[in-house]
Amino acid sequence: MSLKDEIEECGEILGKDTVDSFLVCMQCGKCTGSCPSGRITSYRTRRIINRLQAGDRSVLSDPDLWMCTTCYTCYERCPREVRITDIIRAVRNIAAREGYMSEPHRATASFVIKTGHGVPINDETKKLRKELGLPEVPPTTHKYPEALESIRKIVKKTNFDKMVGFDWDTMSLEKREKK
Amino acid sequence: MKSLVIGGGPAGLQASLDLANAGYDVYLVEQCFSLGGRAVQIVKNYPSLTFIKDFMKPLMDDVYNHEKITVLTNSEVIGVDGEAGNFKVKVEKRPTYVNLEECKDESCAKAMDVCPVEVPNEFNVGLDKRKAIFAPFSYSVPSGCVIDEKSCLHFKDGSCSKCSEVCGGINFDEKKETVEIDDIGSIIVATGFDPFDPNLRPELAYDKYKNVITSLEFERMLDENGPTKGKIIVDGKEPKSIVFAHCIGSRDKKVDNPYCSRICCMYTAKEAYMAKEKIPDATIAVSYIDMRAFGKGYEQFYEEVQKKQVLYRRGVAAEIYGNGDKVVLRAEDTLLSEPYEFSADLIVLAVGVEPRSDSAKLANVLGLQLDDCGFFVEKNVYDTCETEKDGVFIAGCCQGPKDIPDSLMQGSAAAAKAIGLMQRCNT
Ligand SMILES: Cc1cc2nc3c(=O)[nH]c(=O)nc-3n(C[C@H](O)[C@H](O)[C@H](O)COP(=O)(O)OP(=O)(O)OC[C@H]3O[C@@H](n4cnc5c(N)ncnc54)[C@H](O)[C@@H]3O)c2cc1C
Ligand code: SF4
Ligand code: SF4
Ligand code: SF4
Ligand code: SF4
Repeated sequence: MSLKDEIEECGEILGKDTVDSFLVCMQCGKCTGSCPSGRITSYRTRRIINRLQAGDRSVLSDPDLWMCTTCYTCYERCPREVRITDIIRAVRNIAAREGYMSEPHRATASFVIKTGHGVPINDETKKLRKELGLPEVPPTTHKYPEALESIRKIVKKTNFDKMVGFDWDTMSLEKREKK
Repeated sequence: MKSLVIGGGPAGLQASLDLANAGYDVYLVEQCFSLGGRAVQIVKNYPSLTFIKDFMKPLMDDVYNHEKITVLTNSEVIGVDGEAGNFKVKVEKRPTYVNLEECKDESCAKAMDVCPVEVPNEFNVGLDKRKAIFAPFSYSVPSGCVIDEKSCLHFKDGSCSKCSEVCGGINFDEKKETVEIDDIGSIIVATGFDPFDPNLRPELAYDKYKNVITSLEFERMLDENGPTKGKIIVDGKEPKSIVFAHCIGSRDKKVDNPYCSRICCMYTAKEAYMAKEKIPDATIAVSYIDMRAFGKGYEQFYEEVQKKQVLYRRGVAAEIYGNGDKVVLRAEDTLLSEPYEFSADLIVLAVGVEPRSDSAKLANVLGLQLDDCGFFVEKNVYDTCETEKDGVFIAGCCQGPKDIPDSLMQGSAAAAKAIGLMQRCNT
């Protein structure tokens, strides 16, 4: 399967026109120049799109793929309306399937499995909620712990646990060798 | 049989002259007070670096003084009936309240002097002010003053008539007339373009900083007869570092302009060259996507500009922000894959060519189609002068972006087509 076909498959939920828009990138650099992540990391938005155009599969194992903060600035500004951020999400889906999910993203995934939240609540947030006149705990798995079972069912059914390498016995992530 | 030309820029002027020289009576309808179009706001041409005035002024005079051409300035076509070979046209001629026959140069100066109203000068893109009675620009044709009734106090509340005290040519009672012309065999539309409004790209901060300007403002600064007397001055100072930013409002689907404007690569090269001539110790850079120098002698001119140590750096302007007195252009150098920042005293935005905002109105009057971008639709790629409407031709930037030589050429081509059609109608 070509990389383009895979992107279409893994970006199905975003729509073919959206994820295929990487084909019309004109390499202007507006995205990289606008990217807050690229200011402090080696991540170059345009280079990712460029490598996708070239069908370069090494993108999948490149840690840079995970440097995007999904702020959508580039998406808003791209003069060719390349749906950059959505494309990066679709390509991350392929990378994750192939076992290249970044460690911080795996950690976030493990929180979802463990607590039902990518970012579980902490005392500080509880305090803030109270100050704002909200119930201390939101109506999620935090309030209804029984819903966690449903989430875990989905996780197993979709093989999300295998994809992120979650060990149900130790309730933690398996160690992964850097590929 | 007569012929109608709408728009008195390079394309319309050339078409009028060719038609008249072939023996046809021509009516040239121009919306503004003077002939010339956008071209007269530009100082020098590329790649020759000759003064545009030296070409445009004689062309405007030849057209204005041609015995077979009737020039109707400050006028608009409001109705068209009939068909190829026999159109009937209605033109609304608005008053200028100044009788040019009575006009003497000194009285113009006096009238402008006494006029108490100052408004931004459109010709200089707001870089200076003009009076309510004013001469459109240094070599306008027809020459002399006009009164702009939208800003004149006499028409606002009757509180002023100062200019009429120093100039005998003023006539506040002039009324607008409708001129009806029949036996029009062909119509040539040459209504030109609008420059892109960079406020539609807010990350470029055009409205935020005085030292972020458009290329058209920059052109006006290059003019010895312009608002800065030919000096490049921003906020009272001569800039020592200038960045030109390509493709502003062109090749940009976000602002509905997916096309390349064709002229801005080259006019920027010219502006950078002229800037370097005026301020030899200035650091000058150009942020560009790729260079489009496809005309005769254009690539060689691009080389000349590089020899002047104008630095071409690949990558479109991503954003602009202010830092003290400086403005900073942020972009990615796409060859190095490195984001960079250029801190400059002046940033010039190479704004693109847009269809005129009022072209839908004219399209409606003439029964013409506009394309997705808003330009008039040509018959097909092999015939860019004819339209789907028999007897109506298009030329210049109203058909699509192009520079002055190409506009002139299409004006001539449209005239040739119109002459052919009228010959056929006669036999
Ligand atoms: C910053 C800048 C720099 C440029 N530099 C260069 C350069 O160095 N060299 C070069 O070759 N080109 C240059 N150009 C391009 C040049 O201005 C155009 O190629 C040229 O003006 C196009 O001629 P035109 O006759 O098609 O249209 P215009 O010049 O736009 O003239 C159209 C005329 O039609 C009139 N009109 C419009 N609508 C109506 C209506 N409904 N009824 C009656 N009249 C109407 C307008 O008032 C105007 O007078 C530059 C442009 C810009 C913006
Ligand atoms: S802004 Fe859009 S067109 Fe420009 S390089 Fe990035 S993805 Fe490509
Ligand atoms: S969405 Fe990602 S790639 Fe785009 S600007 Fe934000 S961080 Fe950079
Ligand atoms: S009448 Fe109008 S144009 Fe004349 S001086 Fe007064 S304001 Fe100016
Ligand atoms: S002519 Fe050059 S600057 Fe203008 S839109 Fe085309 S590529 Fe961009």
